[in-house]
Amino acid sequence: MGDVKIFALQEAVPAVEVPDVLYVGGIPLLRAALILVIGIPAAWAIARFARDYAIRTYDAQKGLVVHKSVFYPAVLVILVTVLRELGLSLTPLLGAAGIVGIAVGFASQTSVSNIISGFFLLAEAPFKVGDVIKVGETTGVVMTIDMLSVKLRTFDNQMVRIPNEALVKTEVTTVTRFPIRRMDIPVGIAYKEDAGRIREILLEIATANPRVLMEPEPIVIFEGYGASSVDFKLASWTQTPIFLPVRNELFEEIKARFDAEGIEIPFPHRSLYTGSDTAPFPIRIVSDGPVEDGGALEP
Amino acid sequence: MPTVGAIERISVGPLTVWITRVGDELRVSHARAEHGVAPPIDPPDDIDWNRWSLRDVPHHLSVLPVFPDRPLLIKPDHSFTLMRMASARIYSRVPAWVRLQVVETETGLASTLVELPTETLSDTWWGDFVEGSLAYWLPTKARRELRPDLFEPHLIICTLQLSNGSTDNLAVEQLVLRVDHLSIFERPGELWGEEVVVEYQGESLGSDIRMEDLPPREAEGAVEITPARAQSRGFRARTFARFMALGGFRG
Repeated sequence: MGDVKIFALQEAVPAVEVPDVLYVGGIPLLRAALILVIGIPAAWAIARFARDYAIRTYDAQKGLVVHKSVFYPAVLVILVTVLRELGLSLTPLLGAAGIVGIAVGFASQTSVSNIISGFFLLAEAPFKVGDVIKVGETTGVVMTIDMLSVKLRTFDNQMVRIPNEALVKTEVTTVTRFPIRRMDIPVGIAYKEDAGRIREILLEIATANPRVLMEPEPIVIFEGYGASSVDFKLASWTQTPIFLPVRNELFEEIKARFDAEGIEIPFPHRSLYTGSDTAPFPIRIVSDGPVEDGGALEP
Repeated sequence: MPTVGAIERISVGPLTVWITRVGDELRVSHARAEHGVAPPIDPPDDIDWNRWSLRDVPHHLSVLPVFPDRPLLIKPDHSFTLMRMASARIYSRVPAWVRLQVVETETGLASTLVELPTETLSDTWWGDFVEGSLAYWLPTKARRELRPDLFEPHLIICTLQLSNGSTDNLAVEQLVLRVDHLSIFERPGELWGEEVVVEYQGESLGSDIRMEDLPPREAEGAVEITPARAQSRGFRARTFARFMALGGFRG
């Protein structure tokens, strides 16, 4: 066997000389920049992949939560790594953070409350992205459910930001939660009309519209004897997405049918009595000409 | 396929369909009888046409009856109670839809242009206030007897063999017929759906539903002309509903 030369590892692997350009004042600047330039887009891509998977598997709301839960921590890790590459020690920062934290804590009570309320909203899920909700006087489509707030798009295309804390404390109506909705159409008729006939007509109108559901069946509810009219409510059901157009159709069909049947829908009016229901009010006819002297009646 | 400029007219029950060709465009329009008055022979001038531009190959038109595209909610003409271990046979009449297809003569490739209901059916809901599915409300009642006067060219007779395999009596007030699983058979002048066997297993278990893949015995000699939209030989599902099941005003 011939001689076998075994080279020491440090002789076999030549040392890599790092060019001076990668260092500025002894700091690996390029490496830090590379971490930043590669890391942030990579974190975005991973977060987006996770978001798309969550949307396919669950829904858009969970996709948003997953995206934020992956991206922001990843960015934090990248920034900490970059800071360490640049030689910045985090220990003094953490030390100072204790003092700053107390100050920030007092100042950020509302933000923390909003964040915690956001978790409650996600867990309880009273609504999801895409639902129409009503909060106080505001009605809109839920665009995003974020850490601090929920963003709505109103039907006239304005954006409304509602803090999560406000949503947890307030009554929220989720308009599109269930697949069917009841349309309540108030109908007032003159006292002289036949209430039974009105009820039949209203039910005919509802059942003749193919987009009004036959089950649950439409009904007519007697609401009361009003000051100017006998008041009813036609209660019928339709699918939630077409609630508005079908409701509009029923209003139009009721008006058209009442006009055709000669049924009076009274406007508000008052009957006045002079103390005796047989004695008429005294009335004097005033000329059509311009009124003079402050409107005094001619004798 | 109509020649260019000519208008073909097809009448199926209350539905009238007009088909014409203008250049390479196929146009279809339709109308239904209202209050017993049939549509005119020629299409009105202001009628809307659906239009398709076709490939430049020989085509022919295919017109087929099909079932509606949703389940149907059926009520018997008289509600009755099906005692445990008892069975009953009921007949329902379903207004057919008309499917217009363009078939390439050489390849046999068929493309559906449109499906038109012969009668407009009202929407209804099968389920409860929180969840369910959209269905059609069948205006004709299901009957226990099959009489000759019940046959009309556009109505498909569906036969349901109901049986109560549970330990409770079953009030038959309304039920859902899932027509997307049914084929259509034809005997001269008559359309039949394949027989459906429904075995009620109890309130919590639903019903076993089985399609027989054959016309009912009352339609001996009928041949299949339209296959089912969804191929299935059987499944278990909720089929019967009671009037009180949908809460709200009636509790």
